[in-house]
Amino acid sequence: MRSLFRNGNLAIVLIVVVALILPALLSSGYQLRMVSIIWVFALLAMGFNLLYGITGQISMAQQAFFAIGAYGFAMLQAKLGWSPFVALPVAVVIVACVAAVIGLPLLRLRTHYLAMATLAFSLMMVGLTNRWVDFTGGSAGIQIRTITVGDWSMSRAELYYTLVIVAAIGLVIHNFIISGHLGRAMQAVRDDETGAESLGVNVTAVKLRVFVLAAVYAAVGGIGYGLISRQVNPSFGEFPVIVSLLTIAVVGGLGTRFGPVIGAIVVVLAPQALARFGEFETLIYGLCLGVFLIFLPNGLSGVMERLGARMLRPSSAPGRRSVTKNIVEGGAR
Amino acid sequence: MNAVTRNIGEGAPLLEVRNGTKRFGGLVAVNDVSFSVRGGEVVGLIGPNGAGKSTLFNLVTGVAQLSAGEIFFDGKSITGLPLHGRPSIGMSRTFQIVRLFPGMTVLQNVLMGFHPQLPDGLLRTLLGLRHSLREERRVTEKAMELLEFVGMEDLADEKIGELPYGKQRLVEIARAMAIEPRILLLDEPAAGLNGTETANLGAMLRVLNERGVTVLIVEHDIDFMMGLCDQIVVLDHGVKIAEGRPSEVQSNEKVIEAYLGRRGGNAEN
Amino acid sequence: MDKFSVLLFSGLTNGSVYGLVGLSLSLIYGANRVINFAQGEFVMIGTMSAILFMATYNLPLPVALVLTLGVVLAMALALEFAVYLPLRKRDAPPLTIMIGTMAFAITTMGVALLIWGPNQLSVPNILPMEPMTVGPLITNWQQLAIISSFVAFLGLTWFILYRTSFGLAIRATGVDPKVALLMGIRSDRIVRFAFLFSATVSGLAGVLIGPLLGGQISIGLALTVKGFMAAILGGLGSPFAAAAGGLAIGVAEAMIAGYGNSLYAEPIIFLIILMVLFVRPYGLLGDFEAARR
Repeated sequence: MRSLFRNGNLAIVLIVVVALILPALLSSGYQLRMVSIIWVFALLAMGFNLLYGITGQISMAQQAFFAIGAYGFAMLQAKLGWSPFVALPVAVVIVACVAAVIGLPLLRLRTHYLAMATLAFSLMMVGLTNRWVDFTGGSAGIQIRTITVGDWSMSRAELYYTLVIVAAIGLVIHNFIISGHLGRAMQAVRDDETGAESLGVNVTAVKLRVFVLAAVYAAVGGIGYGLISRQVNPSFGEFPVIVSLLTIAVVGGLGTRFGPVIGAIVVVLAPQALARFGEFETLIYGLCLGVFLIFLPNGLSGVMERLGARMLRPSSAPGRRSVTKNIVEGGAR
Repeated sequence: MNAVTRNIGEGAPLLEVRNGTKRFGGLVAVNDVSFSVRGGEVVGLIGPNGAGKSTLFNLVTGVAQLSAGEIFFDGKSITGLPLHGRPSIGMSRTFQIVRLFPGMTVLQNVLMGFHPQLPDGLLRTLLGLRHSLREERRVTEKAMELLEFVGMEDLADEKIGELPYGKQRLVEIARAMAIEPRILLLDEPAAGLNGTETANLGAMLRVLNERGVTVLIVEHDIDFMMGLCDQIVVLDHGVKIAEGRPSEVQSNEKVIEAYLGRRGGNAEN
Repeated sequence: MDKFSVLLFSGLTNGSVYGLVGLSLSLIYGANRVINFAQGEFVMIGTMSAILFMATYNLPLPVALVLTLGVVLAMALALEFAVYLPLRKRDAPPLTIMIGTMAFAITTMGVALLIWGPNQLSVPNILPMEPMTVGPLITNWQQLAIISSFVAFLGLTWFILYRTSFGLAIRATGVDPKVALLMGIRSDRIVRFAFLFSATVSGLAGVLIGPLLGGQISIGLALTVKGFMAAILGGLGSPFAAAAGGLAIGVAEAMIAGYGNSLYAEPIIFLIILMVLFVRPYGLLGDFEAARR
């Protein structure tokens, strides 16, 4: 367990190091913005992975929590004049409370009913942000000012470094949960609720906690996205966000430890490479989602695990496989 | 060492069902049944098909709720105790059809049995991180010991789906033992096992009982039960018709009638 | 009274389309426990094909209808063979299959985008849209055609389900697929029927609703969601409950918009659906599913 934890952390350290030297290699602000967005989507996907990939509870409200986080952060500053350092935690707490309040009744629902109920919630929220112009600024949204303390104000590069660190912390927690007893209990809930219950797992509590945690991940991601975009608008909560999220989860590998990050890198960067195809983008998104779902159910993580295992096989003792691999193969059911 | 744990018939009741009744609409599946299991005993619950054994077992394990009556564990009523509250007071069970988590390995399945002993919730786990990690290491070692006990230590990292049924049953028993139960509730543990596997299971349960675990067991296999149990409770049509040592029950006329009267050869089955 | 009647008919018209999508979803769900997130895309393709065949190629109505039907049926087979069957083969859980149908929906939108572009196109009318009065009520032929095809499809579904032996097999599968399989029912045929029949229903609904909604490739998603809500509101277990749910949503939407606040009609509908699910987790008429738990 200890060595596994260290082993996983090594990969995280590697990711962070690469992420931190990356801006030096980039030539434009646009590129910096793109790599910043990777970490935003990685955070969003980590929460979704814990909720759906590990615990088996689908939520189509992640983009709503993403938007509520950003709106909360923007409005607490714009309307109440709060400092961003106060607005940020308060916005996250607001999202956590909203998630707890709607999660309590909704998590009694299963599978498709849960999917629909959460979708109804997010459509309602998007409808409100679009229509309640006086409060939310309507489709124009609300400006988010750059974080400023005295004379210092956060540059785009500094924002990027902050996001990398936040995402790394998120990833450490995400992987710690998956690798330990908490993740085990969550998988038990996914595989067999009554079985889990009779082993002492409080199924309702597990579901609610993970739902709230996933919402918190989404909120932090949303605030990050708001800071990158320097505004928040209703598109934060709209359908394309959940399409991206699902694609990240599936392409990266559901229920894996590094799937959210790998998926986010691919899904944010691939359209850039495809940009010259322009109008083919939607089609390619759809095909990618389908192809991965059908042919690579463990996503790129699964592929990398298999390649890694093949390379390591001669040196490592046969028989005992790493827990990572087991989790990868566990996948989402 | 037997003397310490096997003072049969003298200990206080560990598990007691008082006037247990379960109605499904107009049908009375279990009718005013009372019995008790003393600490250290192996008690068997038998009866012809449809006698209400499974229903009674579900009432005891908390999967179904009593229509009337009460159930006590160690002197306290557990009638309304939720399912997830039972392992932590020392009640552990297996299922009629093996119920493991297919997405996990053998080891992870056994580790699930330690769930109530581990810190609850993310915040508590992170706040006591050193303790949490130490605990995880401790229970992993204990889980490996349990797998050794059932002879499966080299299959620890196998996926559940790749195991034959008999092995899956052993994983389930190892997991049930992980709870460190005071009472082990077994629902037809020999179902689906071959002769050798059944014999091994019997031997294993006897060892566990000698180590002080009380056992309540529902089973079709009469021979298996006669050799294993200290006390046997016989149900028919939801009513308790006999109770006693295996030899007493075997010669009880009501029991013979219940078995032979309806389905001739079932008693030898 | 005039206002009421206009609202009622526009609500019934939209509701009929939601209801037909809901009915389609429920039929497929009954056959294989899968929610088809691409169902609204069949409506969209129905609308867009009508534009293609009637306006662009100027084909006569019957020919255009047959071709449109051919397109949606081919699409249904593509969904079944490219997405459903491979996922079923590797025993993917229902939610994964749902995400698969979502992938199909996005792909369909991608293809439609290449063919028709993102802008709204005008849809040729099959029937006159001029207002006419029926007794005290005001409506038009287009609306009446949609509402009557709703009733006709409902009747046809009822006939198939309750008056044919194939329908009995469908219903048996709907109650318990495993038991139905033991009884020797070929579930693969039922699944194929459900996909094809649903595609027909939704495709024709698309041809009819096109002139009212406008031909735009983005309408599919909204219709999937509304049809989904209809099915959830009524109860996924019964196609008729799902259809009724659709009518309820359509009429409520029109009434809230007309008498309450047109701006907030849509969020209010979603709020109501959410509230219904809080109180009745398996839908208003959903005892069927609740009882099976």
